[in-house]
Amino acid sequence: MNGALFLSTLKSKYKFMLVCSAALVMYSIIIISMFDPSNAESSKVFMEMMPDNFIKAFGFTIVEPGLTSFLGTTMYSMPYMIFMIIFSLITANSLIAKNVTRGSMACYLSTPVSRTKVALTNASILILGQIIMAFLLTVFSILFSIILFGNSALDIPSFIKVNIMGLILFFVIGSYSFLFSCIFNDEKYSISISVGLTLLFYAMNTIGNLSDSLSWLNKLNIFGAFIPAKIINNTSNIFPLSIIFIIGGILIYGLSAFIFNRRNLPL
Amino acid sequence: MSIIVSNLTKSFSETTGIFNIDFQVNKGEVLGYLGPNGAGKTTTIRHLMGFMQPNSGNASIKDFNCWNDRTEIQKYIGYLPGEINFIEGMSGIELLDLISNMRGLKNHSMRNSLIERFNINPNIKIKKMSKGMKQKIGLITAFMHDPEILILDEPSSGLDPLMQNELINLILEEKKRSKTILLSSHIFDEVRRTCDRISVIKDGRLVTTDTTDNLESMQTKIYKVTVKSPKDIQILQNSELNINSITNLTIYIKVSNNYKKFLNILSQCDIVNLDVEKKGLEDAFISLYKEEVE
Repeated sequence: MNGALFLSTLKSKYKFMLVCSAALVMYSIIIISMFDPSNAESSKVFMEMMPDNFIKAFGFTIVEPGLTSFLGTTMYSMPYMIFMIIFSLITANSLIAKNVTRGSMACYLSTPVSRTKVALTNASILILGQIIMAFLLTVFSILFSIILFGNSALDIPSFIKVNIMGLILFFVIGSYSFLFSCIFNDEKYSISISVGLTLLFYAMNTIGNLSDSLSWLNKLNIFGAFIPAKIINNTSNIFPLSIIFIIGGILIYGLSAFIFNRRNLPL
Repeated sequence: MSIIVSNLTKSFSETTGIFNIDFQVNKGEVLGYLGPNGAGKTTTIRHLMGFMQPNSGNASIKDFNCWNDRTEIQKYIGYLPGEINFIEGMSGIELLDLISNMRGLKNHSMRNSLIERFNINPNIKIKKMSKGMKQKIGLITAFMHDPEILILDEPSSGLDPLMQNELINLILEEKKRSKTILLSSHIFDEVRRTCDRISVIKDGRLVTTDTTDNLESMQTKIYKVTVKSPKDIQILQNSELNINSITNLTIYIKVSNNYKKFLNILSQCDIVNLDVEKKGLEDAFISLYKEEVE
């Protein structure tokens, strides 16, 4: 880690970080305010407005009526994914590949700060951004649900668990996006491949949710590991998977720095 | 020996790349590194900076291998890239602060004197700066930590003639302070005034390395002589001088190193005007650039 570089990169990314966080928080607030506690069936009403396949495809399965599962099945199936993907992929790409493509990486590397340090310092900004987004989303969602529905509507421990698992999922997504950012000289390839792979995973998850015969697809994509409803119901133990994901993410970040350190740069 | 490039080879394909590049730059010396566009100057410099790993041969700076010890060598190098691309969204001073901090540089006296010398307002956003202003910021980042070794890739590009002159003075001052300087340039005046020796690269291969004086004197020069009467023309024509062409009372004479004879014959004529048609060094390069590499 290099302090000066950390602050400089943070300064250049914090606006985007806050915009994405604000979008997440706004979405969450809107969805929370759509919840009607007097009608336990309210989430069902929401679902009935949507076509069947749509509901299945995006995993809007209803587990039990309640604010936690309502949020878990709506917010965390699409809006959350979209904004976290946008932030993670664009930021990962801009931290290394964009600087290499545009030549500004030469500014960093003509100082006595090693490539490994440059890569890991910049990677820490991506991870920090994801943590800040998850933190703001969690805090504001909890606050807003308390304001609207009182202390007992939201199952806060389960909700925090969902957010931690989501964050760990995006730690891995961020790590492979960062890996591509470190591999390619041209940011076009870096962003295309990380977007392509992520959309492929998301599509596999969507199709896998459509029918039971295709559910094996969920085992092959990273999004299949994140089912908020199961976390809320306590039917899946997130602990072993979290550990695997965290170790996997750390290894991929390490590999990224290793590759970046070894390769030729057109600067 | 401060900079040593030996047998450096990096091929991108059979014909592109750099092949068996060999040169040294000594302490207190300025080496001009010249060649047509795409000859491999920047590729060589990328190896010196540790951005690229050679296929064979090696580059070293102060006995450090440029690839393996690339982080270490940066302490001693001031680098100006040929194409300057700064980090987005910063002002000049923010960039200078960032690089100073990454270098752990506390003493800003050199930086402040350069800002004054180049007459630049560093508080402007880099995005809004003209090419010349960006070049000045780049020069400040290269010189501000008072490095022992300077690698300057076309340092005067974008600068106005006044600033080009200022830069030449700066390079000469640094040379006097025993800095080691590698200068890639297309501007002959700059090269002639600053470089002790010159290496010329073409199509990825070194064509020649020689002192600036030798390169300049090797070259045949064309003197434009205007005389008073046709009689003088005849004297010149009948002499052993190598006449290039004649128009009215003006005669163009090629001179390589037979200056004594040339002046003797001229002294027999009535000369109205005497001029060198082309600058020697410029000609030397143009012919070197054009020459086929075997």
